Amino acid sequence: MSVSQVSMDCEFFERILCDLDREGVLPAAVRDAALVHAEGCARCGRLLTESESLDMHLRSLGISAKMQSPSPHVESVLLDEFRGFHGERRLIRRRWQLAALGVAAAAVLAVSYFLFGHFAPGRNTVKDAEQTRGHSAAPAFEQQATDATAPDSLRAASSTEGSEAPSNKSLVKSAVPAENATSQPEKNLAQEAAFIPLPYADATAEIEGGQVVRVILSPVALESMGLRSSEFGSSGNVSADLLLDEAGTPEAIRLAAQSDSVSTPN
Amino acid sequence: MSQPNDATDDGLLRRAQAGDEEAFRLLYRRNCPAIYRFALHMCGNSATAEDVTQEVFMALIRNAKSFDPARGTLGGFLFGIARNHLRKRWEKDQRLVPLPEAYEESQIDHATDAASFETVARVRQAVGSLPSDYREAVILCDLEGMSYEEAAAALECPIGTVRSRLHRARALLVEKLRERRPVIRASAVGE
Repeated sequence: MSVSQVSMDCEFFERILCDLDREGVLPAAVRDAALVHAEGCARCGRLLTESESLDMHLRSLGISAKMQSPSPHVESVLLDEFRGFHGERRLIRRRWQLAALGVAAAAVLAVSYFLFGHFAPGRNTVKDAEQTRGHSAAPAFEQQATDATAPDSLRAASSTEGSEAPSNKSLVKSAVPAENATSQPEKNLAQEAAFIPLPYADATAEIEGGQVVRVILSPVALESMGLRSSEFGSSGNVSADLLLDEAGTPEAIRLAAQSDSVSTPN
Repeated sequence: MSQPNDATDDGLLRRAQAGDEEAFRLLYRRNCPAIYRFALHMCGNSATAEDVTQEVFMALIRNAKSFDPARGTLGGFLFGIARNHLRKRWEKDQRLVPLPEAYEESQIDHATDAASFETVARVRQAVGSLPSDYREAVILCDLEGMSYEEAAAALECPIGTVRSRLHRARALLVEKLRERRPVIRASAVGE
């Protein structure tokens, strides 16, 4: 586009007047046409002069303002604010991280506890062993003690005593821990089954603080206790365990060979 | 290690958002003079201009995510914030509306000669007496040298509106300067 092709009049000139000094707003041909028009038109020439004068005044105002800037205090306040804001954000982020870590740890612990409770290898085995001991081991010892090793007369005595038997058992039960608190359960059960209450013993009383002593009893001593040596399958001295009450009075007897044979399998 | 494009306003802003204090300091030093001058021309009071400048950068610290580079430059964004703060202040306190003689003497650069001093004071008064919409257009386009596009982004209005406001503002300024010239000359002569 050339200058001659632009139709410039006063109205158009007035409209583009403030863009004349701005780069890149008007095409060069339009700008040149406007300047040519201003040379020939007194009114538009005056407007152009006033506009250029205004530009110069504004430029001087701009230059004087350029020397002014906010005080350094503003910058320090803003930097403090910046540090505070980002410090707070970091703190909040760290708190969230800690909370997330805590939740994750709790979840891991819960899952571990659940898995351990259901799949731990030793857990069922222990339960099973306890059940086995509770249901099968004790009756077996009882059966052994009464059927295999005890003399017939004693077996008869224990069977004829009827209702006394349970109380005697409870008597022996309470005495056994005093004998050997750290002995194995199997041994206790064997001793419980082997002790035979003496005829004069108070069947209803429980022995507290009693103890077991191993003695060698002569046939006379056995008889003094209301027992006969022939019942033990021996005419001589007999090794036996005596269950003594708190006063030291024998309350029950057990053949030493019997108790040894019971505990031997272990 | 900083990348080459980190020196741009966008790059500095990204780094500042990540907590880089030095980036924020650079960003402030680069943009604060223009914001301060804009506020000063708009309100005519250096204390208020400092307050507005501070509020603008406070807003940038707290809400930098609201700047979208696709919508304009950071400068335009900051001018927009400054403009909103100034308007809020005017709504709160009508005393901040600049009167023709409201400019502070402290703003005048006494190092310049008397003629320049007179001219600058006269133009400053004329600009200060313009309606705020027109004043904004003059400050951004003529004093800060923004393009129409940048000014339109800062003023949140179409380019055509900026052009027409500037055109009317300049016509008013010419008229005001023409009116004041004999008075100032007379007083100058009288002195």
